Amino acid sequence: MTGAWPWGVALVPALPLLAAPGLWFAPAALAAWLALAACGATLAAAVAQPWLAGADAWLRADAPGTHMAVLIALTGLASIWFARRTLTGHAAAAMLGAMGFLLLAVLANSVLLAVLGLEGALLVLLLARPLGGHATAGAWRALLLAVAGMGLALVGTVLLARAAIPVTGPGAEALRWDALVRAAPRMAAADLSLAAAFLLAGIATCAGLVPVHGWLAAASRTGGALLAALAGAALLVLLRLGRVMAAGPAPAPAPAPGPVLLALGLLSVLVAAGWLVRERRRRPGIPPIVLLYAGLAAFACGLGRTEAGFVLVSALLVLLPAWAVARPHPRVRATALAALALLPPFAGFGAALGVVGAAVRGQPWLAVPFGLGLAVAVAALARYLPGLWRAPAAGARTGDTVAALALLALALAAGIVPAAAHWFETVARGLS
Amino acid sequence: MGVTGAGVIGAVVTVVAEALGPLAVSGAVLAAFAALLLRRVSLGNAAVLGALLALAVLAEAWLQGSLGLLVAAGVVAGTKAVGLPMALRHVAPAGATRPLAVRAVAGVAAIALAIALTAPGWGVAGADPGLALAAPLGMALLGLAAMMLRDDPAGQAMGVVALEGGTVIAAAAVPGMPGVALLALAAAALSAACVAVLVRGSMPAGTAP
Repeated sequence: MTGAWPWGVALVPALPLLAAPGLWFAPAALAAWLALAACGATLAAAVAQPWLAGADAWLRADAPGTHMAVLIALTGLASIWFARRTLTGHAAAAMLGAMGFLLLAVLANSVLLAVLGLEGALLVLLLARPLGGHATAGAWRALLLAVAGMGLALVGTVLLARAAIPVTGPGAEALRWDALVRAAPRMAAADLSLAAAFLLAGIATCAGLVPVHGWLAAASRTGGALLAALAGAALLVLLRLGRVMAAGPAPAPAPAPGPVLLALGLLSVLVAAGWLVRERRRRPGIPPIVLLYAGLAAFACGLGRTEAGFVLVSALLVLLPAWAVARPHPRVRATALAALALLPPFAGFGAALGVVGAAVRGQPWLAVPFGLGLAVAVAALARYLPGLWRAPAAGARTGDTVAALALLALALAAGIVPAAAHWFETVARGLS
Repeated sequence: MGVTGAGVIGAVVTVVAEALGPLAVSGAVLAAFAALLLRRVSLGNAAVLGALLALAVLAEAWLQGSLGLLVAAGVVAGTKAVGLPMALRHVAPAGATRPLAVRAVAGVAAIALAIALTAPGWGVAGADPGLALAAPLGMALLGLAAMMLRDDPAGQAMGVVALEGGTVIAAAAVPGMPGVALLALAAAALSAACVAVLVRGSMPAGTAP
């Protein structure tokens, strides 16, 4: 598909990636505003994709990719807005760099480019923080885990190309998502399985799913809300891989992504619930919340409820900056936490309820531990609500309060407006 | 009918590359195995592994006449044969603490798994009769084993080099593989990230993930 301006899609990742090196040297007073301008332009370019109908040999703005691109740009914009008073040039450059790589991953029409995007974002989030002493040891451990995951994903990419080349012929076609779906029925099942096993292991690392979630805590200091964007982008790449696998030769090649996502999702929800219960801080940190949502979304996608997975990831991306980065009025922050805790009437509530219902109908044995883990996680998050609600309003910023309310309104609309449900179904159908 | 000097040199280089490529890959697999087994790895071990990887990719670049592979060879040489060994000078010397037998069994298992996965009639559906992929896949798995089983940063960094080197050589061994240079850059970025952490912080010993 080539639209009015085929190169328009390249603008979306290019804007933040080109702006990031300049911001590295920008003075702190100017960095936040320049970063906001770059994020605003990126968001506008992402929103314009349906009209530009952009596509080239390597990038493509399909419905799921565009949806995730808009959300990632919005998360970046919100995060920079909320952190504008303390943001240094280095931090702004890191955030924009990570954002650019994530946009590349979700808009890529190539397995290699998608893996490169995830790798770039993960490395930026892990490396763009001060090191020394224990921080270095922690960063090294997290980096080794991430490098192992990315290495496996790269090996999987090579194996996938090797499996595809006899069918698609040599060149870029061998790694294009759309060409792979067409070629998959004629590919050797064993070749496809081997490639998928490596890719699943590698991309699950980027999604932060258990048992390869060890890097989440190390990256949270730099990444902030962009950690959620990384998990969401990785899940989208996993779903695209699942689409290739589903189109594979009969009998279906193993490992089937559905059961793998179910298992990883369930484990992640259980570990996140335990992590949230053990938290002794004044408020819950970002890593367990991201792990919980990544697990929920993976479990939903494993059950075939892809639209619920998109709702959950979207809710996390919209709500996390309002909760974790902003300094709004305490009651607005409490409301953001209530929405993150999957309480009604926000978007996550309906999606989580739907996933539990689907689990009871389709996988009753998994529904019990899943429901238990979810209930514990919700209770662990909700225990912070009374304290937050009664907290003094001193230090709250009006600009943050207004922006956080706007994000909450989006999460609310996604939960109660029927058109939003249709949109998420359209996004999920865009994959199949 | 005249035979030019350039033609003769080209033919000789091709013969050398055909012989040198497999030798370099085999040497790199042995170096990766050594990185897993040695109690303490040195700058020399890292440099030899990086140089063998670069040589293997260079030979493949000549044989395929691929500019992308030539770039990849340069990237591999710069990061793995020079950059990482230099970064290892910043690391406090430490040795592997897990028993040699455990590491040896893991290494043999990694090689056996790579052969099983790529052998005709076993794992992959007969698409690799010459087992051309077994060596790089084995090297990648050896690297993974070194990253998991060693707890000294230098040994783990050698594991990273083996993992990424195996990936690049595997890509070079697949005829028609798109974006080999890009993939080599991606692999180099992973090694470079390790270099950055090793250089920026004084690494304490015993940092197993």
